[in-house]
Formats: sequence, C-alpha cells, structure tokens
Amino acid sequence: MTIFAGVLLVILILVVIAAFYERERMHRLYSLHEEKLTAEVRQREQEFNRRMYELAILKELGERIGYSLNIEKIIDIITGSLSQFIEYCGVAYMLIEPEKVVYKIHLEKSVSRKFIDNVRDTMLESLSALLDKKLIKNQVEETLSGAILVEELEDPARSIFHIPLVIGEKAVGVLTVADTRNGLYKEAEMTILYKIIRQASQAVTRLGDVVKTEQRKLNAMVSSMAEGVVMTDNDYRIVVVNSAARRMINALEVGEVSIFNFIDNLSGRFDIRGKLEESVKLNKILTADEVFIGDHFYQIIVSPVKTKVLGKEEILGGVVIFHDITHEKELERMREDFTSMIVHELRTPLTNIRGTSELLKKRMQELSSEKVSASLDLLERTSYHLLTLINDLLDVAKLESGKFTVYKKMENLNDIIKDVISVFTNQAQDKNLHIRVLFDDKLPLLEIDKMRISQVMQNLISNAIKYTTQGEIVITTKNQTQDVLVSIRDTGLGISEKDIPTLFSKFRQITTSAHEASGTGLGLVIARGIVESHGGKIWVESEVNAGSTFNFTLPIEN
Amino acid sequence: MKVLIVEDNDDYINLLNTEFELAGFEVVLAHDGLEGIEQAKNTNPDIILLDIILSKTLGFSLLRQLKKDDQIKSVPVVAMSNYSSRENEEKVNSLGAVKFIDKGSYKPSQIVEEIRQILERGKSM
Repeated sequence: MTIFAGVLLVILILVVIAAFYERERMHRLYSLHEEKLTAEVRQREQEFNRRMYELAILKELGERIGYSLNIEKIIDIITGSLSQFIEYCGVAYMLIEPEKVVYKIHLEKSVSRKFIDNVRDTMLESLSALLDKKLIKNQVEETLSGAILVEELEDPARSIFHIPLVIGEKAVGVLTVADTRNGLYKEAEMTILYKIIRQASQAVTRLGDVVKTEQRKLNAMVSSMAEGVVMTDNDYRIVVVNSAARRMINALEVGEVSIFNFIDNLSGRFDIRGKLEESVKLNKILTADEVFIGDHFYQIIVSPVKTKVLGKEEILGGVVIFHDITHEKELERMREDFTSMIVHELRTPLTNIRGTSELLKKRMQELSSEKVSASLDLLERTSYHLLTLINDLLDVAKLESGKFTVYKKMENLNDIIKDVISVFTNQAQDKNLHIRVLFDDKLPLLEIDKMRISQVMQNLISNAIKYTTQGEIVITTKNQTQDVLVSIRDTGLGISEKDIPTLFSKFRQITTSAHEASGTGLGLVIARGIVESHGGKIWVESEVNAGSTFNFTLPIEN
Repeated sequence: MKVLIVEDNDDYINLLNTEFELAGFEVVLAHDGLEGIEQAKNTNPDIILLDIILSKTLGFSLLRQLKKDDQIKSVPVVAMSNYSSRENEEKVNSLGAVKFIDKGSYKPSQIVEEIRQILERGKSM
C-alpha cells in the first residue's frame, strides 16, 4: 500500500513536472510566436503608415496637379512632407529652364555653406550626365529655405541620393536628399521615393496629354474666332494669340509674338500692358470703344483670367479681345451721312423760301417786275420740290416699316409709260436728247398700281435725262411669258462698278459725281420698293461713260 | 464796296445778289470753287462770302487756297453753311475765316448787315 502510494506520488510528481515543462515550453513557444507576430504587426503597421503616407501624398498631388502643370509646384508638395518619412539634413531639386538652372534646397537641420555647395555640385554633375549637356555654376539660380546656415558646422554632405525627374520620357531635373552622416541611404529604402516620383511624373505626363488635347481643341476654337484674342500670364508673357490678333498687328508671319509686338503696334492708341495690369489688379473687366488699328475700328475688352484651385480663386493672367466694329462704324457713318444729307436737302430750299419771301415783303417796291416774277417762281418751284422730297421721305419710311401698300387694277403698261414720257418731252428736247420707244405690242393687261408704276418711270426717265448730255434714251417693253421686262437705256455718264451694289439702298455712298447733280437718291430706293411690292425685280447694267440700262420686271398674273 | 459770293445753289446766290445790290454793294458771283479763285484774283473784291459745301471743290480747300495766295490772302473771308456745327465753325476759323455764318439762322438781309460791319471795322483799324 505504501509502495503503491509512493509510486503514485512519484508519477504524480512527474506528471506535474512534465506538465510544468510542457507549460513552460508552450509558453516559450507562444512568446516566441508572439514576438514574431509583434514584429510582423509592427512591420505591417509601418508599411501601412508608409502606404497611407504614399496615398496621402499621391492624393494631394492628384488634387493639386489637377490644376497645375507646374513641375516646380508639384515637387514643392513632395519635398514639403518628405521629412516624415526619410531622414535628411536637406532636400533639394534642380530643374532645367531655357535660360537658367533652378536650384532649391530646403534644410531640416542647420548645415554649413559647404554642404549646400556640395549638394549643388553633385546635382549639377548628375544632371549634366543625365541630359548629356554641360551645365555651369553661373547658370544656377539658388533658393534656400528651412533651417539657418551655421558656418561652425563643417560637416560635408556624406550621404547623397539623386532621383531623376522625368516628365513624358524627358528628363527635366533631379530630386536629391542629403545628410552629413555616412551611408544613410540604401537603394532598397528609397523605393517609396522612387514610387512617389514615378507616380507624380506619370500623373503630370498623363495630365499633360489631356491638357494638350484640350489645348488643341481650345486653340482650334480660338484661332477660328473672328475676334482677335491675346492671353498673357502674370508676367505679360503671351500664352495664347490667335491669327485674327496677329493679322491686326501685321504679325501673321512672325514666329513668336511677344507682348512687345502689341505694345509697339498699338502705341499711342491702346496701352495693352497698362490695361492688363489694371484689369488684373482691380479684378475687373475693362473696355475701350472705337480704337483705330490698321484701317479698322475695334472695341477692346480686357479681362482677368481666373481659375479656382481647391476652392481658392487664382489669377492666371489676363486676356485681351479685339472686336472688329468697322462695319458697324461704317453703317453708323452712313446713317449720319444720310441724316446730314437730308437736313441739307430740306434746309436749302427752306432757306431760299424764307429769304425770298422776306425780300418780297420788305423790298417789293425796289424790285423790277422781272425780279418779282422770278421770286414768285422760285417760291412755287421750291415749295413743290420740298413737297416731293417730303413725300419721298414718307414713302421710304413706309417701305421701311412694311406699311407701304399698292392699289392694283388691270392696266395697260404701254399706255402708262407713254403718258409719263409725254411729261418729259420738253425737258429732253431742251438737252437735245431723243427719247425712243420700242414697245412690245403683245403685252397683256397687268395687275398694277398705275400711280406707283408711273412714279417708277418718272424717276428712271428723269435720272436718264439728268445724267445724259448727248445721245438718246431708249425705253423698251418686252413680254417674257412669266413677266414683262421694262428697260430704260441711256447714253450718259454711267455708274461705276463700286457704286452699283448700294445704288438702290438708302445709305448709299455719296460719291462726288452723284453729288454734283445733287439729289437724295431716295427715288431709286422707292422705285425698288414699288417694283418689289408688285412681285418684280429691279437692277442696273452700266458702263462708265457709255451709259446705263435700268431694268425692272412686273409679273404676268395667270 | 465789292463783295465776291461763292455759292453753288442758284436760287440762293441770286437771292444774295439781289440783297447786296439793293444795299449798294458791287457784287461778283462765282458758282463753284474754280470760278471763285479766278474771280478773287481778277476782280479784287473787298470781302469774300464763301459757302463751304461746294460740289466741285470743298469750300474748306478753297479757303485754304485763298489764304495761301499772296495776292488774295489779305481779303477777309466770311464762311457760310447750311451745316452749322461747332466743328465747322472751328475749322473755318482755324483756316483764317473772319466769321462763320449759319445760313439757317441768318436772313440774307442780316448777312448783308454782317458783311457791312466787318468791312467798317476793317476800315477803322
């Protein structure tokens, strides 16, 4: 019993010991695992943090790049938050620009001048190698920021790491981190930096492509605009200029147009630079009316060019739009000419009527009977002339407002024309002009306004007599089945080709020859209105010094 | 007193002719710019009354020509027009006319009176 109990006790003790050891073993095993696990977790956590940082920086980049293609700005964003992740005394970038090399270094810790120069020289060297182009110190434009320089710190840059900046397969610069300590940067640790730079440059490249496509569309639109368009950045460098603007300053063939081309060409008439400055400064649209450039009149609009970046308004520059108002000015001038012509035509006879009646009233006794009779003659003739003129003006006003009406009846056209001719026989004979008639005797009766068609004939025949000094006037009628053609041919002055298009319009150019014989020119405007009211057409064929033929048609009603 | 009238409207020139003659002037008429220059040279007028809207030569250029000619430039010129405007008035004054007359607001008898006064002022100086 005792032995059994002893054995049992030993076994129990052994079991307990074994269990203890097992527990220990398990515990050790577990804690080993735990250690490993912790390390793994920590590593994951670190990686997660990196990833988060990467994502954050890429997101920020994405947003900013969304509005900017400025590489310098993008690199500023990257370098601005790099210190959370990599240790360095300074982070720098070097970019190639047409006339210079930009070198920007941001210091996390104070270093000496030597350090700055170290970094610059190695960057310049690697950039030269990268671009296969000799770059010299003189071209470098340096910008320093961050911690201050302390000359007592003599440590040179012992660790330097360069990453090329490539945009659209083209190297544009170098990004560099540097520290005074030795052996700090291992290729493997720098993968994230590579990744960021690569993503950023890919984004810029992609965006560049999109922008190029958009720009092409925009350029196509801007260049096909009739308005001249010039856009400048805030330093008055021309960003956009279309061919209308180039044509305006005679710079179609000039390769690169600068603001100075515009300043020189517009000097004394429009201060393009001053206006752009004012517009951007006041954030206001400015306009200038009636600026005469070349041989055209322009209305000029100057506006700031704004964009919203992350909800904040940013001024990119200014745009100048040249709107050609020459045609409007011409119309305005013609209207003014017309008005002053009418004023003259009304005032002249009225002045004569008033002067003559005053003379008769005050000096009747002193005047010879011939003078009195001539004066009364003048009063009658001039009043009649004024009345005709006022009737013409009324007719034109009616035509313009669409209130001109014709009262048509079945009439014999040849008879109407014969009656009109009889009125002019004496006048023609006085000038030794022969009026010849070639009537088509197979004309049907026409549905026309006798009074109005007589008015057209009176106008055309009196013009023919007025502008003809020798020869004849031939009046023809002809049945053309659909309509009747009436022609009045003279052997007079003729009308120059450039005057023909405006001959039947109110705002005709009053050339000297037309002015010489005087008159308002309204007769032809009314003649056209009458003919068109009948559904016909009126036109002229003419040769200077050979004569003119005025033709019009009147439709035959079926 | 001899007045030269350059005016292309027949009725108006006749009217002025009658008024001036009744007022005792000796009158020379010219119906266009060319005739105006010729008469100015040939007839030695004391004063010239010039319409500035002439059909063949614009009155302005005629005025300029008159003031360039050594023989005529001392003869006072009174410009007249149916287009009264400050612009026309300033222009004729700058070209050397002694007065601008708006035909609409002066009766012919008043024009005669103006001319007489200008000639009297000239004499007393």
